[in-house]
Amino acid sequence: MPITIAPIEVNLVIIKIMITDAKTKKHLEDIGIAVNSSIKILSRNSGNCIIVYKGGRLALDYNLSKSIFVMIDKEDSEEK
Amino acid sequence: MKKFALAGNPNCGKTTLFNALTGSTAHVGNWPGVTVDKREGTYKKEKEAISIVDLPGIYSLSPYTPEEVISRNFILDEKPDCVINIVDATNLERNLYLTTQILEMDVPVIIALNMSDVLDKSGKKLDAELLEKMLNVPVVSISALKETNIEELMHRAYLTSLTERKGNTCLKDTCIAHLVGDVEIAFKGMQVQNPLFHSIKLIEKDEIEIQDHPNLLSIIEEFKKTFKSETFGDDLEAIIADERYKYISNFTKNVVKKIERKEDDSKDSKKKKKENSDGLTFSDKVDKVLTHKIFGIPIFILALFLIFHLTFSTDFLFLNAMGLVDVTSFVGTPYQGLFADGGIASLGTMLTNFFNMSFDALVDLTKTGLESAGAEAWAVGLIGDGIMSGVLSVFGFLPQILMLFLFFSILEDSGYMTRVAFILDRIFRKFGVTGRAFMPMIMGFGCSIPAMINTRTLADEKERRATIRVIPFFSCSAKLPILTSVAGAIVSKFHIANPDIITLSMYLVGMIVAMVALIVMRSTTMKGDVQPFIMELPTYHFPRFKSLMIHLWDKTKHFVKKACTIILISNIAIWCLMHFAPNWSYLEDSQVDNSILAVFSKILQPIFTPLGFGVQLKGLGWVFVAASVAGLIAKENLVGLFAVLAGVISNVSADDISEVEAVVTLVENTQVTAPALIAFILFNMTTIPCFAACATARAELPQGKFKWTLLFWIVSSYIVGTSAFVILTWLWTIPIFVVVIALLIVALYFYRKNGTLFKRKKTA
Repeated sequence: MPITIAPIEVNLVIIKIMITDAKTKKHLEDIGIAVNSSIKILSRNSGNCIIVYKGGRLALDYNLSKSIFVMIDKEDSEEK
Repeated sequence: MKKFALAGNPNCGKTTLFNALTGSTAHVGNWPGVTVDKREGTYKKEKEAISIVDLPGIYSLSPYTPEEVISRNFILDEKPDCVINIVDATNLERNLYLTTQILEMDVPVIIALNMSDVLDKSGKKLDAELLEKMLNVPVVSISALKETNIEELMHRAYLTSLTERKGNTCLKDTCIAHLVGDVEIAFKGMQVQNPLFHSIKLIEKDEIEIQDHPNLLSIIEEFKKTFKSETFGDDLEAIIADERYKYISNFTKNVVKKIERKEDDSKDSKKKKKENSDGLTFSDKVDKVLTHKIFGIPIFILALFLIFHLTFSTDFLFLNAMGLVDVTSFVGTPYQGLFADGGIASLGTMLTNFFNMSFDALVDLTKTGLESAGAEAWAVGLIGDGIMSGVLSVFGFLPQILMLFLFFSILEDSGYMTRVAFILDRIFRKFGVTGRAFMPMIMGFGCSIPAMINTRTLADEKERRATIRVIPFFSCSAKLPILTSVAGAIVSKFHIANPDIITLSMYLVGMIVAMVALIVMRSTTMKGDVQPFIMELPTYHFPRFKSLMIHLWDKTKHFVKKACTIILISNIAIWCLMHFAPNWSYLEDSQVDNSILAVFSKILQPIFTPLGFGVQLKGLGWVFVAASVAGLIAKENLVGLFAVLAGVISNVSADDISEVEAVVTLVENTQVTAPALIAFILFNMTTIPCFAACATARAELPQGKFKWTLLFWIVSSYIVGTSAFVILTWLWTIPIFVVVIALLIVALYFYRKNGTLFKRKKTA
């Protein structure tokens, strides 16, 4: 599911990034939003959202969030 | 002399370390992208002097924004003797991503593990030795802020720089190791330096690399044909990023495990558990409120209002307006109304009052002194009115400027400004820019020059150009005296509103004009999609006293320097122009209407008739035109000119005069109306900025775009001034304006729609 509808404050894993612009995609990968990275959504502000990842916080706009697909981290939910 | 470069992620403390090493006071802020240009200093505590270069923050050596290109090119082309890679210990995993890339270059590297003290506080400890073993380069734990371990860092960096290092990569055990090897050999054959680095960047499809070496692309394309990964397909960039992160998390895990074992023994573990139970840090909780869907924007507006109220209000908390307080302090002394004049003054107003009143007393004293010493009348005039009142009137605003600046620095240093950029992104998007453009815009309130340079953090060229053009509309601190003195005159003469409300609304009108201008530009001459908004949000921290004071000190220094050079000279020039007729004969104060300045201004005056300060004014009406022209040199000149002229008039009428009173005198003399005064403020706020800002705009804009920008400034300020004057003078014109604006919006909408339709056809 895209980040725009993913549950808040749950550990998620990125499974696919569907961004067509190569430069933006590369930049996201460089700052740590890559496939297999685990992230958590902190808050959402009508589509724009703040995510927590690798110890930092990142603000993303709606267009980006809807093209990043995640799933709930299985390992994590089992631990709990 | 050896040359060391400081490289690292944005906001990891490079500039703080740079300041600590070189004793500089470069601007440090709590948001990514404060440093947008390289900066050099010298470190002297080692065997030989070392030149330290501070670079803009980068996430990776593949640049995304213009300022990141600077960092990459410096490390590659200038070949520093050692790269000090600063790593934020609280954010290890992501910071090391850049490290893995730097290590691929043939350059000595040392890692400075910054903010290790913050990590200690949160109950963690990093094993620097283990990290050193794994990365195979020296690692030193430091705290740039507290300046601990910095000498050791520099000593080891010096030792490191003595031996050469060959680049190595973390990709050597991966599925693309072969490809990397092949391309590297090709690069080596071409005698290119840093072959390993270039080969990996080429495989990553780095724009610059593809441009430089298009001939090698075929090797990669060949490889792609035979290659397919399960999750990534043939997306080599994604594979490389993934491999890097895998490699990093592998060994950070080891470091982390050690930490946790240690942690369990310590008392801090309780704290950690507490934090874990609700999963949120302090910063996160604050963010929940400040970036709230509904409350985020109102909170920001409230904060802005409080800042302006504390700085400009003459009726603190509106106690007088509510009928609770009615006092006037020091009645009958030169300091009448210092703390209270009806209502209680805000801190900013008190300080400004104090400055102005003291200066006035000083000017009076000097004049009487000179007169009694038997000086010529012209000398008394030049020194008293031309030099002293002109320059001191500008100085009088220093407290308010500093206070406003201090508040903005606090907001910036705490990390709040990045959140505002985030909550405003949603709205900014409609104007055609991203929330990122908010940072340079808010800097514009201080000074347009650094603000324009800071637009380098914007990734899109058109967005950047549009932002540079509207930055002057965010009224800079030099325009503040115009606002306060004219607003003060409006209040005391026409009894309308409060000075803080007028000031704030003028700022708001400036911002609205900026937004409208952005919409118009982005839907006509600078069409294009709005770039994605990606911004890292730093952790909140309490503003640091030291860095706040450095900000204030820099601002004061800049201000004093400017007042004593440009403004002083222009005031003398203005005084001279006021006292000589076109045939170079000296004029008495009362003959000012025949001076060169008057004659010249009267030629231009008719142009400003629609703005309310043109031919309809009587007496010294040309003054407003002269002031606007003088403002092109430095905006402070406007108030300076008023003060000089008021001095000239006061000699005639023999009255004491302050800045606000100077404008009041002019109002009485010229019979200018309140709407015309508002139009005058707005015209000067939105017109061509000062020379220095123009020069910066010219340098930052692409070639040939500057003349259009000048035209844009003239046209927009003229429209804004005219509409303000017409609407406020004849309120019945509002419906006409509404209709015209509505028509324009419809026209723009269709133009925009057709434009995009046209574009779509083209691409399809």
